[in-house]
Amino acid sequence: MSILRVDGIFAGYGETEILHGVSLHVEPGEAVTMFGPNGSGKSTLMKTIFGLLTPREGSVVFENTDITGMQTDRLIRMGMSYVPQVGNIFPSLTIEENLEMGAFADDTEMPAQVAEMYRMFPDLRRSRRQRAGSLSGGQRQMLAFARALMLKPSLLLLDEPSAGLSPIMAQLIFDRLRVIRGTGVALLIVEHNIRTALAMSDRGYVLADGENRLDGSAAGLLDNPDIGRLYLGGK
Amino acid sequence: MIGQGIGVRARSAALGEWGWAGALALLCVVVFVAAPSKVVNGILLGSMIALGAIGITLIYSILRFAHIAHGDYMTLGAYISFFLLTVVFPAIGIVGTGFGPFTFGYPLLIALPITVVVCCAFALAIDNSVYQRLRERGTGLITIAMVSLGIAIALRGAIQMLWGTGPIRLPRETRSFYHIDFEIALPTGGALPFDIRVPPDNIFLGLTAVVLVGALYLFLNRTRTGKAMRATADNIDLARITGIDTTRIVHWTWAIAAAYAAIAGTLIAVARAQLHPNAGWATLIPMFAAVLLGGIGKPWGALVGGLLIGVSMEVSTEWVSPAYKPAVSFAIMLVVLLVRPRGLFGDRDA
Amino acid sequence: MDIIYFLAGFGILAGIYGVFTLGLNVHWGYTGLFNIGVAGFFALGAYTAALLTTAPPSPELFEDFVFGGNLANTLQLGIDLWFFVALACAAIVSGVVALVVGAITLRLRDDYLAISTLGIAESVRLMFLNEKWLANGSRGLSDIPKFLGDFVTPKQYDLLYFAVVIIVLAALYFVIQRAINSPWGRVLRAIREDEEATAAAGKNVFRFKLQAFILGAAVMGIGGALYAHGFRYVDPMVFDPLLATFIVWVMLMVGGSGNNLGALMGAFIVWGIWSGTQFLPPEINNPNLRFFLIGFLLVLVIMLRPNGMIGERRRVSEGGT
Ligand SMILES: Nc1ncnc2c1ncn2[C@@H]1O[C@H](COP(=O)(O)OP(=O)(O)OP(=O)(O)O)[C@@H](O)[C@H]1O
Ligand SMILES: [Mg+2]
Repeated sequence: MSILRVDGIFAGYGETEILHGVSLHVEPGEAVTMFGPNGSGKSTLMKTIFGLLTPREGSVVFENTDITGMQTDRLIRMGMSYVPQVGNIFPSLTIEENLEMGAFADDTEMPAQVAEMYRMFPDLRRSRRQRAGSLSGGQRQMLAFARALMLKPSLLLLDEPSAGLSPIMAQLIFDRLRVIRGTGVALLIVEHNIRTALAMSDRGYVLADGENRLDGSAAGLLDNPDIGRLYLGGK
Repeated sequence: MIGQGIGVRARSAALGEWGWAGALALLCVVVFVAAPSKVVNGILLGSMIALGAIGITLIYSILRFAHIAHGDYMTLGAYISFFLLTVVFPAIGIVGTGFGPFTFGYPLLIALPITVVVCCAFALAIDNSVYQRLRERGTGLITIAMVSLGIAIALRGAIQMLWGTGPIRLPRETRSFYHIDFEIALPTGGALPFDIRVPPDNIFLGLTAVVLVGALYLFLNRTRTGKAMRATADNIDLARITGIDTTRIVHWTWAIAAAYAAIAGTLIAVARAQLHPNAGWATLIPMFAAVLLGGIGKPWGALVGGLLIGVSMEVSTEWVSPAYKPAVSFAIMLVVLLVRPRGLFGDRDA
Repeated sequence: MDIIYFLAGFGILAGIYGVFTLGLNVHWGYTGLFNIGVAGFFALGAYTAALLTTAPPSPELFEDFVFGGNLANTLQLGIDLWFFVALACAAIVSGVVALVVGAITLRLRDDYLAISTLGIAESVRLMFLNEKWLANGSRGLSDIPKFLGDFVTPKQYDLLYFAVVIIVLAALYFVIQRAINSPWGRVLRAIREDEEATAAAGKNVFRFKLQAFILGAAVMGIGGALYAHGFRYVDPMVFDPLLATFIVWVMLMVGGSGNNLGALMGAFIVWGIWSGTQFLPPEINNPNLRFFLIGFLLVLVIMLRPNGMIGERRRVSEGGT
């Protein structure tokens, strides 16, 4: 049974329609990469899944519940979490306060979860009283993951987690994602760093002009000559 | 975008926010030597400007619009307190002046919490019936500020309908000033005399401000809701994504802003021993000057800004007519905007 | 025939308010500048005109008052052409103040301008109130000369001046209309709709905003000068925010911002209603009730009819940042 099932989504901003009937699904514990050209609607799809945009048509089903148009805090308590592309931490709050905010919807297990996050991201413990705005790009991304993991989600949506980072930092980010995945969390990742992302994923989707273009197993996509030519820089 | 010339920018960067605050503090010390009474009373009166400015800056940080009705919320608080003290309380036998060293009586201490509740309820009702609808419609922030202008006008009209247009004197007892007289010996020989006169009520203002600012500090840094309020001020979209109930945060923001406005409005009236329907509106310029001086959206900036504006306004009376106090605060605001547009503690991108 | 004189008296003020709404429309309606200090530019214009044309009164009455020009005698321009010089000077003084304040605040956040205009209005009022040597303080300036007053009886002056106001108003209307429909005006509206996109298109947004701010302020200054010569008396009380700023906002919003015809309609209709209330029975003819209603109307119009009666078709909801 899929943990997430997106069916024929039409969505956009105001008058403009960006997504014209997109579908995808994510199985429990699975890592799925979505990619496509700039402006193809990947972030828009993420926002629609997370209920920040209301689709005009189509449905989003999470753990057998139709969550189209559901309140965000309910969604979070059900076990979905989202790390947006930019602005994904609270810069004037301390690291620890950022984590506390991650547990805002339900703080029953907060101290234990904070400790768990420090175990998973030791860097954060060292700077826990520091303002998050003083962190480097990579550390910010780690903090954003940790914040999103505070309520033990079963599905994590990640929008370009390695964007704007150095190759070494990006590598570290993907290492962390592997660890997160190892804990049983399903991942839906939007990435431009396609090779690395697919390498750690089970399946992938290609989105273009707000429509499904291609999908398949990660290995199959990596071998696909069209993908190679269009997105992986030739070969 | 804000480029004011390389020289100014380099200087701002070199001084830093604490550098600027320090330079201003040094200036205050110099001025203190020249006019100690005015500095002390300026700080005490400035603390009320600061309470109002904190409300404006909180509203700005969460709702992102300039709350032009804030001064009139203060006026409303003052009139409600007055109504309680002169009509409601005497009817049930709560009367008195000359509480401790102060001109007012203990009934004021009972009136303040009631006033706070009424003003919070008013602010929330207005948010519910007006601002929330506009937010849901996606109305522009400047248009929302204009609506707050409309509310300011309507509120003042309503106050004038109920209590008249003229000033009203508050019931009070006459009290002599605290008088502190001392000299500081100078290394060069000779002595620097200080002669400070402070009305006791001003001390009450200062103490109240200390308590309220301390409470706000604890609220923002120690409570879940307070931290969520700071998070919402940082990034309201992320706050929603994180599951923070931003509607509740908005309500808290209004409640705190209205409560502090009500208290400041009442105490300003107490310190002046009179009520005037125009009093709050007239405080709007000093309050916004304090907000901009401290850096928009920064509560501690608003506090520092309020104190500095209060001192400047009092001290300026050494040289210009007291009538020009609002113009002095406006002039300071223009200088701040010219030299350091983001204010003392503001973010770089502001 | 008295009704004619009454209507002329009404029309003079309504027409002057029309000048203010036109100026405010340049600010808010076309450029999105939030000016809540109309009273400041009104006062600058009125006092400039009055001070240039009114000779100092006898020293026994006004011992402090030293200023006071006599433009009519110094210029010797024949039939009262000094009037237009006074209007021009009023426009220039208002415009220069707008230039200074705009240069400081227009680069910054939109609402900084609002607070600054409020500051101008208050500072200007305080200056005229307290600097007795400059403008005779709270006693104000009286006996401001009439324009073409030698040619009519005092009673007919209102009729004549009504015509003058309408002519000036019409002239301003056509000038502003032309400016707004020129490429310059299109840039203003582009700024109002999307400042960033306009800047990205290579326009110097700050310059255009500053020009619009100065133009609107100058128009308001002319309105002030018209007021001074129409009522021939100014004092700082005239520039109370209610009747010098707030009501102008209501006029613009009721009529429809972004549409000059709407702005003029708003001025005449709102002033008509306001003047009409003086015939109400005294029990409900409460000045404070009117004060309340002005604010209430402003809120109501924005909530229920954001485009006013005949506003430009535009999204009021364009989100500021
Ligand atoms: N808030 C918004 N309002 C209006 N249009 C938007 C908004 N956000 C995005 N768009 C438009 O929607 C389209 C898709 O944007 P989206 O951010 O979903 O693309 P993306 O696939 O995530 O691109 P990228 O790889 O650059 O992140 C773009 O044309 C963009 O201009
Ligand atoms: Mg994107």
